Amino acid sequence: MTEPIAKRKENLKWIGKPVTRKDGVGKVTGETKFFSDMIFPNMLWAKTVRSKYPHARIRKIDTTKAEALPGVVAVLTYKDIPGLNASGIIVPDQPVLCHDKVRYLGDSVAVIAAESLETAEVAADLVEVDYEPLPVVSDPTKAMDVDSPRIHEKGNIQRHATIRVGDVERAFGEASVIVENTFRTGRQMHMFLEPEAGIGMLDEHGNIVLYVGGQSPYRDQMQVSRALGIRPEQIRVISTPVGGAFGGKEENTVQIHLALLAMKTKRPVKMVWTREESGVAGMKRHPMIVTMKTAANETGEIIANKVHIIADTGAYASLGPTVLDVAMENSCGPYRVPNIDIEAYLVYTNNGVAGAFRGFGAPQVNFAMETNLDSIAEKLGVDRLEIRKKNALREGDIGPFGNKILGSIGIYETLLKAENCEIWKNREKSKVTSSAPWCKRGVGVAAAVKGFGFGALPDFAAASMQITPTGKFVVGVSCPEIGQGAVTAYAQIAAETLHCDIGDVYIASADSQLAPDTGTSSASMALVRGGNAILAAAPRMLELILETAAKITGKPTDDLVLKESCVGSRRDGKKSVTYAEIAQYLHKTGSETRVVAGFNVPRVEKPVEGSIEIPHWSYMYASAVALVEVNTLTGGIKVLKFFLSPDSGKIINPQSYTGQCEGAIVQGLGFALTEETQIDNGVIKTNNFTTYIIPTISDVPEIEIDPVETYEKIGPFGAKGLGEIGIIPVGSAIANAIYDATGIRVFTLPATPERVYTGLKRGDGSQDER
Amino acid sequence: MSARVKVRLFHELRNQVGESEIEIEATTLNEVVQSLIEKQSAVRELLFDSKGRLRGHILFYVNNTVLNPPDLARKLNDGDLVLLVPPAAGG
Repeated sequence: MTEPIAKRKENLKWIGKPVTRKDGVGKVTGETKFFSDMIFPNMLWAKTVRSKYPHARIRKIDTTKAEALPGVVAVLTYKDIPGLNASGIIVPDQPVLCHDKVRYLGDSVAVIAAESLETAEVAADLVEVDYEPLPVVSDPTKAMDVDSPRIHEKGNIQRHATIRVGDVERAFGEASVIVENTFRTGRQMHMFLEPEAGIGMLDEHGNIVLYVGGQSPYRDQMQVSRALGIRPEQIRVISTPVGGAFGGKEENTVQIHLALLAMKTKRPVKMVWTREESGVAGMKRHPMIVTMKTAANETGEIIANKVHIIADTGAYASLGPTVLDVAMENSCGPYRVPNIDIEAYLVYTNNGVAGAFRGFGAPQVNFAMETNLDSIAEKLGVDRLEIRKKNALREGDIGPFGNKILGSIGIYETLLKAENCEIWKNREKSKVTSSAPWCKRGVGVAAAVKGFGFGALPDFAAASMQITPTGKFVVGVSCPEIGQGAVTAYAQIAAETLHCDIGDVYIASADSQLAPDTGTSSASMALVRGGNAILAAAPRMLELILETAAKITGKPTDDLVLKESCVGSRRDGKKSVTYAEIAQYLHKTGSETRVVAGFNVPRVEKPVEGSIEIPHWSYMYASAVALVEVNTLTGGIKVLKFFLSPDSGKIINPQSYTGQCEGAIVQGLGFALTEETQIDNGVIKTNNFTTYIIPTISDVPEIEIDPVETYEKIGPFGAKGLGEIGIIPVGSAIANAIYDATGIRVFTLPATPERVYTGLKRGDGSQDER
Repeated sequence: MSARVKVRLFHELRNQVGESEIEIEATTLNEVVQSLIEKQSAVRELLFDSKGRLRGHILFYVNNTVLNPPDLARKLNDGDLVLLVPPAAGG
């Protein structure tokens, strides 16, 4: 019954429509209360005692003075952790509270609960920690040396991976053109408007309740359960609303500390990281050093790519091992590359902690591939867009890892859109225009790919549906709304499938008590996970409705037909029973009113040798074109126009879609031009908006979004993911536009005015100290 | 002689078995795994590939110590706490 609905492409009432965001009004009017806004009666305030050194041994922790301060209710150290003293979804290597060593300035040594925030802050200063400073490891390349000081016992190389397909050396010998460059990318911060924050308390049964804006209540529940040594059911996690995430709230931040303090004090406890604390302790994008040697034949076909990646994960692994996988998977772009040789390192340093960030390793390597491809086109005298079309993956192609790509492939069609966009068509005319004689304009193009979901790793999503006594529906999906519009899309899918008005659907999201485990809002997968789980649950709910209608009407189910919020008779069109009447019957008879069903994400049986999760079953694609103006006197870059054509399958909600793309482009501008966490010997120098510069509305260019809607057979109604693909080609397109304007190649992002100015002065393309 | 151990399950394992915590008589971690498979055959596909090899990136803990790499021959004692966490994130 549901299969035809999910596959239907026409006559859809809710899918593909610009339905108003369910969370929109509250957020734009400021009425939405985030957890950092909330106050509970009898609530305590929490503060974390953080390391004073980027790298040090702990000789002694003395909490006596802090405990004696009036108003202090609890001071907890590693001794107070009943379970595993570690956090980390993939690699649990970060102490919840440090015992014998600190590895970065954000490391937690103690947590305090007090009657006021001021008291908690004073108490934090009274915790005496005797440190023995150790040498700071700040350079990821030097960190790999065998004689470098060890940050972890097993050494500083957290992961070393190699993937080889074909014979790159033979291909290099046969190549018409070879380009080799080394690229560096910055440590971008998420800079969500709401820093890491939450409230922990006990319910009337003594179970822990955590209100923490995060990306998965069940992953948080697992980490808290592991650390506190209690059953997961004893922990309820409510993860919505979230004041921005972008990957930075996928890991544990305040969750375990709040749970420990709530358990100890038996009172509500609130913790809100300051902006500076978020900068020091929070996750960042992995800075990478990518050396890429790319070869093509005389017609511009890419024949080989040799890639060397060093990713700085900082003090702890977090999601770094899989970020490294995505970097490897994306290093050949959306192209056919028959010979590849990829070697990648994930390296510990004392530079903060890197983890998940929109794009998850892809923007860094995309910058390298798209720059090399532009250079190859230039050397061969081939058009920059033509060379991308020539190499673009097509339906039925084998990917760079020898894998047949099973999902829909729309990269070629997005390149056609790029070819026909106004910026590209007018590129020569644009170049002779500028706002001042010392300003030069240029146009750059880039193409991108990224898998959605966890690739070859198991990925399961469940959803529930309950019919209320008034015939409306409560749909349980645990993926949080993190700004992407997921909850509205879930309501659209549920309303379409259940034949009801969207106002009759309430999405109970992001609550481990109200919704089954739908997985995470990450990896551009919340729509596909939640949407497909709803599509799995809907037939069961419709079956329940039809069976109940049959009991009420006395007609056989095969005579019954679903209509708008009612069930009618095929033979007698006038007679119908409403969902409200069906619901009343179910409730009066004490019948089951809730169904649960799950969806297993398709995946390959075994990952590619040397990888964790490569390949993905299906991929998102995008092409981008940027028009920039370079001020040759200052090195300043102004992005004037930006075009993006994504292929993320069927569009469920055009408004949310456009918003996601525009947001990704603006965040990509930051990655490209300004955003770089400055770290000096393990000390972060840019931990607030005054020193860490993100784009503002005055930096936002004229944006055009022109999607390609391929039909993805594993996605709900043909949809893929979208969240990350928009950011991936932004830095690459801008870098190529800078070259088009000035003849100066960009090898380091962000392309700050200093770097561009230096490059212009040197005139040889080098912009930094390398 | 068998030990009575407490086994805590997460994510899809918990969904498949239908419980988050069970007590099992087992002398090794392998017996814990086999017991789970007997309870719910779908667990086999979650933990092993088609060639019977343990899938990567499943975290096994005994008494708050992660076994890396997992050692299914690991002996268990009465009262041990075993945690099984399937891969929970990626990109």
